[in-house]
Amino acid sequence: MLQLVDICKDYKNGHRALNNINFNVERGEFVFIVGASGAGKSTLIKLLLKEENATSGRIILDNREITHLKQKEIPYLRRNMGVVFQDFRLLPNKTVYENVAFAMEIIEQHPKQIRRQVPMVLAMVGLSERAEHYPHQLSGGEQQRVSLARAIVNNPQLLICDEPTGNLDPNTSKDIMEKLNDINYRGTTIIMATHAREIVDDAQKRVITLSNGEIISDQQKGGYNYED
Amino acid sequence: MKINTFRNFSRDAIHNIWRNSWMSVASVSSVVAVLLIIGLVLIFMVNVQYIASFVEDKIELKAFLELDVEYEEIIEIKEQLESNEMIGTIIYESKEEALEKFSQQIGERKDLISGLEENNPLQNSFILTIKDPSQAGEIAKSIERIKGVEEVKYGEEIVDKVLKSTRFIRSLTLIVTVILAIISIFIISNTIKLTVYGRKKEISIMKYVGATNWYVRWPFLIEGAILGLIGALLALLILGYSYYYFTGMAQHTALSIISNSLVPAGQMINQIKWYFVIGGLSIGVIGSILSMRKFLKV
Repeated sequence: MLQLVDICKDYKNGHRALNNINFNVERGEFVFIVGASGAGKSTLIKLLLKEENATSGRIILDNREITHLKQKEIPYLRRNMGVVFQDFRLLPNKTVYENVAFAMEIIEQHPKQIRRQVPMVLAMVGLSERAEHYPHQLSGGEQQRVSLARAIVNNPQLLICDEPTGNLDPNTSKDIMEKLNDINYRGTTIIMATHAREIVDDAQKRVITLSNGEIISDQQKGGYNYED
Repeated sequence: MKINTFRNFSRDAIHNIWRNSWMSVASVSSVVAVLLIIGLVLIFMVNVQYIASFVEDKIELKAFLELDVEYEEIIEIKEQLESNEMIGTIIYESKEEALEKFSQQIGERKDLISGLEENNPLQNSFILTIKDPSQAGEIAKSIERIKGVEEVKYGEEIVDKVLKSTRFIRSLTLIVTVILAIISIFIISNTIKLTVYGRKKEISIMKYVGATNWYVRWPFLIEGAILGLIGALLALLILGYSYYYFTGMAQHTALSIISNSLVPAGQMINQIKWYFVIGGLSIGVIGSILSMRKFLKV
């Protein structure tokens, strides 16, 4: 479903963040992107989210070339993707329910549809009881589950996670990984950038390892084989 | 945009005005300040126009007829004048009437013109008012071409002076207003920028979830419009009341000569209210569009 062909990314200061990146992701796959800080994980995520444009190469999503999109088209592309960040990025003045409903309001879903879908997703991530709480009343793990709920409430085909467990303790991380696995089983493709060794080793999924902007290994059922 | 979305936007906008109440007060105050200054200029301009229109209305053309025109010819000339659309009222003044007027004007020294009745040196004439004072010169020329008309006179110098000065004041006020409007948009956009900055995170989240730029902009636009409108109404209230108070107060003092020739307060407010509403709205809306530009790049 996702193809990256000869992707290079140079920043304005001349630093080459990504060099000749090639990989395909099939529908329903769960792919880890690992590597040290500065290896190019964040840049790769930014390219996928169209926050940055590649300097050269092509990105194809669902047989559609998305390498160069007009500013106007980007929001519609993002509606097919869910995003989860390390720092949750919840709206502090909205309740859990509102934070999730917000993602549906933005794409102008019918209120009836919103009232049906949001509780369902909150139940999936186990936060039904917390619906009326505000983010600051929740633990880190709970906040990340809210952002997971928000990411999947519009049924995206692709879920992009940027260090989703980076701010969480090991037990909570495990919990988030279980939720991600659930989502993956339902058919959502997941790309997850991380440098949490245990999680990668436990999961036994495909692992793409980046170093200095290049792919140094791409293994099915791999482990975290990059030495920090 | 769907109705529900619009409802959400308005709800968000009003929410934000409350939540950032100090920022809102600051925005409204700067709109009020700017509109007060623009309003003063506007009131000045409206009054200048008002006074100028008095003077312009008084511009008369006098068409002197040749000495030997017959009665039938005078009728003919009158018909020709009536067919000219640029001419307002037409009054015929025979040479006898003219002499009568003249003798009244000189009063005591009537002896100077005694005996002139038999040999009246004055001319028959038409006294004309015109619809557009700026056309006075051309109309005069066209009337002079009519057979039987000897010459047309009007206060060329006064007309030119009045027209020039009103034109000058009009363009001056326009320039001043534009400059003030630009300054105010700058102030508002900076004020709103602060509220936008406070919600930078929210905007970036919206963009990641797939909100279009317009979706992000709308609540801020509504917020800007509401603040601009409140500012406009406040400014109108302050200015209108002050003007009313000033013209009322001046009536009983030495200033009454001035205040009597000014536009009445009610009429003034009526005339400037839409400028204020539109001005306040556009300052708010343009200000918020400008202030958001850089935050939409996610």
